[in-house]
This record gives sequence, structure tokens and C-alpha cells, in this order.
Amino acid sequence: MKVIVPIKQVYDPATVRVSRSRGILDTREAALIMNPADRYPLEEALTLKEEAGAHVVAVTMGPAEAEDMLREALAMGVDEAVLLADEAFSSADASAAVMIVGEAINEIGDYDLILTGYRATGDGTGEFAPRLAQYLGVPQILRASRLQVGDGKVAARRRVSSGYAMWEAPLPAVVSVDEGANKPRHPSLPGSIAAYEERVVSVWGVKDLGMTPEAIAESTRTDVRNSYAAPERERGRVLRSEPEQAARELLQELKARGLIES
Amino acid sequence: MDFTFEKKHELLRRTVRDYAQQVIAPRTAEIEETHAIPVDLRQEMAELGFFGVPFPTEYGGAGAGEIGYCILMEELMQGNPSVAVLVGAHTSIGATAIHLDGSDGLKQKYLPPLCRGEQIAAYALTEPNAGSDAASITLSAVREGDSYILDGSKIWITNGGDAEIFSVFAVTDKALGYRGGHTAFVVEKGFPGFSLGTIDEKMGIVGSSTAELVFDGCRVPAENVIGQVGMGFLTAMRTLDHGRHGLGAGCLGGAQEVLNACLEYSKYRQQFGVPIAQKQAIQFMIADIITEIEALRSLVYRVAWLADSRRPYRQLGGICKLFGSEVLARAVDKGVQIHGALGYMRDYPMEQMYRDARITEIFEGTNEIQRVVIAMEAFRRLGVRVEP
Repeated sequence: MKVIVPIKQVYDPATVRVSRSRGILDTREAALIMNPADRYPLEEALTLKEEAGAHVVAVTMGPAEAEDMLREALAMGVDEAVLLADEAFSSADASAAVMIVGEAINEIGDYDLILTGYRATGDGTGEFAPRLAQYLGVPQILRASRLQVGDGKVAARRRVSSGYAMWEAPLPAVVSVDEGANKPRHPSLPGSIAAYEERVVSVWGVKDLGMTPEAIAESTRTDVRNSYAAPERERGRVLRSEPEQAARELLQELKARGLIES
Repeated sequence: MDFTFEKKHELLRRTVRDYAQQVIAPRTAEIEETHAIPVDLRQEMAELGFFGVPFPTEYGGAGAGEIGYCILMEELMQGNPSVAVLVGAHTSIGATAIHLDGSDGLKQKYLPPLCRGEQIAAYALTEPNAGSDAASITLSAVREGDSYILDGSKIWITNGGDAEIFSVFAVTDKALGYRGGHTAFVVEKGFPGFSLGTIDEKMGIVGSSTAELVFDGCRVPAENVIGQVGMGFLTAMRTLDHGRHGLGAGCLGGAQEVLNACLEYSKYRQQFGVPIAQKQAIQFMIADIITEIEALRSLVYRVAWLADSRRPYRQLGGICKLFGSEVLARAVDKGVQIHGALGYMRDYPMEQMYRDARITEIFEGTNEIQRVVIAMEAFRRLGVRVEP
């Protein structure tokens, strides 16, 4: 069984500052970490490795620095790591990213299961898994937990408003694993050292995927017109007098502002 | 000159830090209450490879060297000092004695289970009348056929009650004394004639086991001699030399933990209508802690780098232990003061940090002995011989 886990490097939200004056996120001093939601599909895949001998491949599209995240995945126990890094990938949007990762998955080939996080810290749209399933033409189960793999199919539980629903899909399939679906493991200490001393991260560019920069540019359809910080809320006024007096003051204030008729 | 850490060490630090903060630190109340490291915690740490960090991969270690080991100790100390001492005494003295001077056979037999954390090691040198004066040990070892028979006792042995494997120093020739008459042995907990004596109650690091070891006609196979017969004192000293920067690294982590607590507390504790962070009296204490931490950090990793690049580090290692433990002592003292009465209360962490810190000025060579050794070395270079 081969399980492919697309993961993503994101900024650690605790280290990102909001620059209100420039309307952007200031990431100059931000730390890069593995998308927290991606630890759940990794754990699921590594459990399948332990229990069913699955071969686990982690793949990511990103800058050269994303290699460090892949090495962390190797330290946790994945068998292979592939970094998709190319100048042509740098402006890819969600649609183009799916095409790039999708082609990489086809290149890796012979997969039974693709496990993803349910969303990425950052834009948090959660559209990667459904788009990827669509691109690859395979079934999908989203935000799943309690995965059971066998007999050519995957069964999993999804939360619905009234409780849980069990879903089943034939393999190969894309499953996005829900937050809290398992207890993600810590990398081992010898694994952390070996990840740099002994292990290999394959780096694939646009040519390795049989793609062209033009095709990627063409499938990038997002056009960012503007970005701005949400306006800061005006600081409220607290009326500290006795309740009756405070009510009177409130009424007066509301009338004065013309918010209610006098 | 380049002061940056290698990527492998950065990942190791992140891995240990996450585990120490997320998994170990929350067990502190339990460790304080039970005076023991929870079995499941030790088990999981063993599976993650916490017990063989500096040793080569051929013995099942992580091959992270002394820099990696110092990172481990620095971060573990911030998780829980008793856990740091368990790993520290096991690794840097208990197992190191075997790794430094043991035969290939001994290393092949004992290091892999020690690195996997299936067995815990301890280093047994101290006796009632041989503390700083380690040359005065009296535990006797007499050859009998293919074995040695050990008689006597060791006291205050860190990890004593937790360990399965002991590096023990005994007298094989009383007349020769420490110059040719002391020998190191690997003793298993299950050897006939070996037993645990008193388990000591301590001021701090209460989760770490400190015990008396009793040898009553304890039979040890001759192949369990570490190094050569008669060279035990050298093994004992070389092992201690090797452990000192790790201890300094632990002190670095401890001081950092104190600093973090002080910064956090000063930020919200209000007096005279402002957070005490606004008061110069507090700022000066915090600035002093930070300054000493930074000096210690440079020292710790310089010694670790010297050790990893096989350059002499003996004297600097002693300086590292001495300075580190005193930086930590000054930090906890200021830390309690900054926290005021709260720093003195059992329910808050500063009180424990204060108690846990005190041992670092005493064990693995008292600070007085460190000072003597540092001075001895300085005079030796001038051709002047100074006796401790």
C-alpha cells in the first residue's frame, strides 16, 4: 500500500505581526512550521505504515526552506520526501497548486490513498483536498476520522450536525483528515539527526513534472486586487454608575447619537 | 568563526523542546508528589530515543554529539529538572564510562539497551569517606577465578534506585592506591550480592532517585572490567570531565526557565499602579540574569564544539560546570526575589526551581573542587604542582 501525504509549510501564527499601516501581514521575523492540520494525516499514514506496512511519501510545494519541514516528516517516520520547488511555482494559486501537486502525485504513481490536512493555516479555505480529488478523478471523503483501510476501500467517520455519518470510498481516494482525529507523534531524536545526516529529499522542478511555466501561469486565475487590515473597532465606553443611573446615561447617549428617536 | 547551529541540531532542539514543554512539563506536579518519574513517561522517552543522544548510531545512539547532548540537557531542564537529571546522569556519566574506556565487547553488550532506554545507567564513585577526595574510596574488588568479588558500599548515587547498569569504581590494589590500584566495573542490578540500601530524601530534584548501593560479596565477571585493571581512577576522572558541559547546559536551561517566569510575572504584577516591569529594581535583576545566561550559552556550546571537534576541553568543561551552576544559583535567587512572597510559596514554580537548582553546585564535583582543578591546571602550565 502506498500512501501519499501532501503537506504545507506555513508561518507560525504566533510569530506573524499585522502591519495595519501597510495592510499586510509582516512575516519578516515569522517562523516557518509544518501546517498544524497536516500532522493528523501524517499520523494516520504512519499508523498505516506500522499496522499494514504502508509506504508513506510526503510531498510539498514550496520554497527551498520547505525542505526543513520535509526532514521533520522524515524524522517522524515517512519513507520518502519530495519537494516541488521551482521559480515557476512561486506565483501559483490554489488551482495551479493542485495541478502541480496532482502531477507530482501522478509521477510518484501507484498510490492507494492520499491523506491531506483539512485546511491550511493562512488562507484557511480548505479547498485543496476536494480540488485534488477532482483533478485526479478519484473519490473524496472530507474531514474524516477513524479511518479503516482494507479490501480495496477506505471507510471513515464524518461529523454531521446530528452526530456522525460513516462514509466509504473505493481506493484510490483522497481523504482529508479532521483535526483531533488522532494524536500526532513527536519525531524521534535519532530520527531528527538522521533526517539530515542520512535521508534524502528529492527535489522536482517544472520539467520533472512535464509541465511548462506557461501552463502554470495560465491555470493561476486568482487576481489579488487589494489587501487590507480589518478596521480596528472603536473602543467602547463603560458606564460605571449605579444601574438606574447607567440606564439613564445610556438612553441619553443613544438619543444624542440619533440611534433611537427621542 | 561561525556561531550558527547546524540544521540537524535545530531540528533536534525543536523536537526536544516541543516534547519537554508539551509532554514532560505538565507531569511536574505528579513527579513532585510521587517523588518518581512516571513509568509511562520514561517508556515513551525511551522509544523516542532520549537516552542515547550523544552516542554513535552503531550503538543505537542518535549520533548527535556533545552539541546535540547540550541541546537536549538545556531543553529538558526547562521541562522538568528531575527528568533532566535522570537522562543526564544516565548518559553523561553512567553510560559514558563504558563508552569512553570499555572494551568493544562491553560496548556492544551494554550500550545498545542503554541507548534504547531499556536500561538506565548510573555512575557510582562516592562513598561515605570519599566525596571530593575521590581517591580515598575503599570498596574492595578481589580477583577470584574469572570474577571479582566486590565488598563495600557507595552512597548518594544519582539514578541509584532507577538504574539497571552501574559503572562502579573499586580498589583492586590498596597499596598502589588511585595510581594503579583502582578499577572500574560494569555491575548489573541482578548480580548476586548487589542490593540497594537507603533511598535518600532530598531538598530538590525529588523525582530523581538517589540511593545507597550495597556490595556484599558481589560477583562481577572479569570481562566487566572497564578499561584496564588499575586504571579506574583515570576512567572516573575522564568520565566526569566529559559530563561537565552537559551539566552546564542543564544550568543554562534552568536559568532560562527562571528568566521566562520572571519576565511573565513582571509583566502583569502591578504595584504602585504600574506593572513591576516598569521598575528599575526589577529591570536590573532581569538584565543581570540575561547577561549571565548569554555568557553561559557561549561557554556551553564552545565547550561542546571543542569536544565534538576532538580538541582539548578539560579545563573549560570545569569552568562551564562552575560558572553554569553559579549563574543558575544567582538566577533562582533573583527569581524568588522578583516574585516576592509568591516566590516562596509551594504552590508556585519558583520555589521548586530554587530547591532544584541547589544540587548543581554540589554534584559531579563540587564547585570548590572545580576551582581547585582550574587553578591546578593554570599552575601546571607554569610547571608548579598543586595538590588538591
